[in-house]
Amino acid sequence: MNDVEIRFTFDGRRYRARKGDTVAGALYRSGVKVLTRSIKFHRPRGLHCGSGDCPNCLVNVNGVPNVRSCITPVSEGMVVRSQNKVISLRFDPVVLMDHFFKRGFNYHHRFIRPAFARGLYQSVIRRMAGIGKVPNVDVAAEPTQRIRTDVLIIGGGKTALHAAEKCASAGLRSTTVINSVQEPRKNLQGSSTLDGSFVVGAFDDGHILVSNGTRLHIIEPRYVILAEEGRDQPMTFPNWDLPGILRETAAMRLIEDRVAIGSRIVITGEATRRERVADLLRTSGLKHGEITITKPGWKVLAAYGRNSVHKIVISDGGSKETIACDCVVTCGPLAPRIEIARQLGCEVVAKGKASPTISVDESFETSRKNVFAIGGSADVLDDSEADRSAEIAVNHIISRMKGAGSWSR
Amino acid sequence: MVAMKTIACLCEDVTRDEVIEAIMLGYRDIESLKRFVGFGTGPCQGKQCIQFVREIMAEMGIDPGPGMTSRPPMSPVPLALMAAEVEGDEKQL
Repeated sequence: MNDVEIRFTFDGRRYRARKGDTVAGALYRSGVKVLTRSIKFHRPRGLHCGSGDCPNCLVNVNGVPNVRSCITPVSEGMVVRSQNKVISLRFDPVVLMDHFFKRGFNYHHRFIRPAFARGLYQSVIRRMAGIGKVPNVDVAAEPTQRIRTDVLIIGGGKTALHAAEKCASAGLRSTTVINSVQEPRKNLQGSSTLDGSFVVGAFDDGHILVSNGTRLHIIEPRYVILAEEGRDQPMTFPNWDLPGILRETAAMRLIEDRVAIGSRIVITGEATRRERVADLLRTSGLKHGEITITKPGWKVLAAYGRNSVHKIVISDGGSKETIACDCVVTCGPLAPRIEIARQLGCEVVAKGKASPTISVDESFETSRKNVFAIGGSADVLDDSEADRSAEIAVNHIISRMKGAGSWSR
Repeated sequence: MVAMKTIACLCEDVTRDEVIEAIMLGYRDIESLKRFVGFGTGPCQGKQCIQFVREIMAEMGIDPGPGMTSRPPMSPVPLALMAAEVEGDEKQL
């Protein structure tokens, strides 16, 4: 059913998408790589992280600003508009700021003197920057729902679904927040899922605010299981923000959605994962041209391009090499997503510059009682180990409920 | 061509140079660095930049600690949803 065509517009031009495409994915397939401009320097930006974690693909969809196009499915007749550009996406004269302020500028310190001109500066800066405009249409909002549940599971990967299955077979009421659907889901007794949803915030009283873009849910769980997949960290080098430079997650999603990611592709980063991306590309049947996998010990020194990447320079510390390319895939180190845990007040530890991790005990409970972290959230990357962490956490919850006399099943 | 820049924070266009400059000015912990240069205050609430800033701090000989706490909303959400009534709650007038 993948070839069902959906029509939508982007900045007034008509495009076609396939069923299952995201907005950013459909545009990428049509050769549209610049989706927005950055806030200060109006540098071109486009699909980058592919997981709704970064600001590079924010667009206006049907009048609603700041929609993350990398995780938003296209629908028939959608009107998509770019944000934060002057004149046009491909030609934005404000990019001169980029060349004028070579090292960057901090608006707390520039454009503040003389004091009487501050108001004027501010109004100009505000017009040039600012992500999205306040919409002049009413955003349809459904009433907020309260959900009381035994176990709230956060994450849409294998581990989260395994935990949901374990809860269901034990007769626990569980609610799973699913950001992106990666695994086929079974209908489980007593469990509900919030599809295409994301956590907005977690609060001291243990309530967790979840949204799907059209309504909020206030979730009041007795137990929380954080089961998010690890985040592939950005690999940073000069101009790593150029369109055409994709994180592994974004590249994998594009390939799964049958989008050719480039005609000369460079894949860099962690060895096993860059091989996996290359294998997926080769077996996908998609046109991919030349694939270059950077050799061990070689690092990207810089990327070059106008509206998207057209070459990168790599080095092994001594010699340099220039590679012409129109797509770079970076497989940066995987790190646990710690944001929700931190908001809940769970202890997070970090040694030196290594990525912070959520502290858990032998039953995968965090420093906050009744909050557990499993799988990627607990930095457990091996699949069977991750499944085991789900089982241990769910069993622990069951025994605690039995102990507290709140086991009514 | 875009100018050669290593961006540290995509949301607020903060560069690596700016972070280093701020550290040299004496902002030596992540919270005051954040307040001074503005990384981690955009729509993504630090999901992309904090680790990079921590690495820059470590390179300059500062223990970066475990970072900072993202603030809700952690992802963009229309204000209309925040203002919507809560089902089952009595309306407060």
